[in-house]
Amino acid sequence: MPHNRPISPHLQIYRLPLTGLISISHRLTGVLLSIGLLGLVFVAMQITLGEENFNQIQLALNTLPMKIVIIGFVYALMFHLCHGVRHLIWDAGRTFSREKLTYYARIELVISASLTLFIARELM
Amino acid sequence: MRNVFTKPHLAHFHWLQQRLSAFFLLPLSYWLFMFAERCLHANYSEMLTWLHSPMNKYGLIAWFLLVCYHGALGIQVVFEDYILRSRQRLAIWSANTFFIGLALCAVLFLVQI
Repeated sequence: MPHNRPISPHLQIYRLPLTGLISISHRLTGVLLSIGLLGLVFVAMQITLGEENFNQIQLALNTLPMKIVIIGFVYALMFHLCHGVRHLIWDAGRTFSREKLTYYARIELVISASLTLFIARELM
Repeated sequence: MRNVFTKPHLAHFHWLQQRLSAFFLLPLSYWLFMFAERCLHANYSEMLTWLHSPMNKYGLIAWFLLVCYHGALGIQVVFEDYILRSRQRLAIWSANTFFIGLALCAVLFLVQI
């Protein structure tokens, strides 16, 4: 296979439209969520280690800075999920016109924010 | 669409795995949020009771396994787009090791509980 695949896209050069910003945020949230997975596995480890460890981690998770991190994780996940659903719709060959792309980009932002609010309220 | 299934090509296969894992992760997220809610508010015995139910334990394990798989596939594409070819192999290999390690740890911890 020829080694001519370009390194792309050059984010610092182009002024991205809303759809482009959302697309790169999808990647960014994917990377951040992967890092967040470490935290989840760490919590699972603390449960294995016993009641005292669990109580300590629970105390830490209920502090304000950690709550902000958790809500951030939930938002990243909801955003990634909503854009992922749109990828599935795109794969079915739908909603590719320019107006629809921007329209659904906005809808996606509203839905991901609403889902985050709902889940954050249930969690906190 | 039919070509994807009948003429497997590496890139198509990658694409298909990414989409299928995403699709199955949607319902499995239920266990993530139930788990998170208990991590924040349940006491230890309530947590254990919840995790001892096979439905919850294996639902959560399935989420961890699939999310690590989905993550590895996604990070590979990001690295292919942003990292110079000469360093790509090492970067992708490292990412895969990270996700395999996480998946193994998650399963080991959850099975023990």
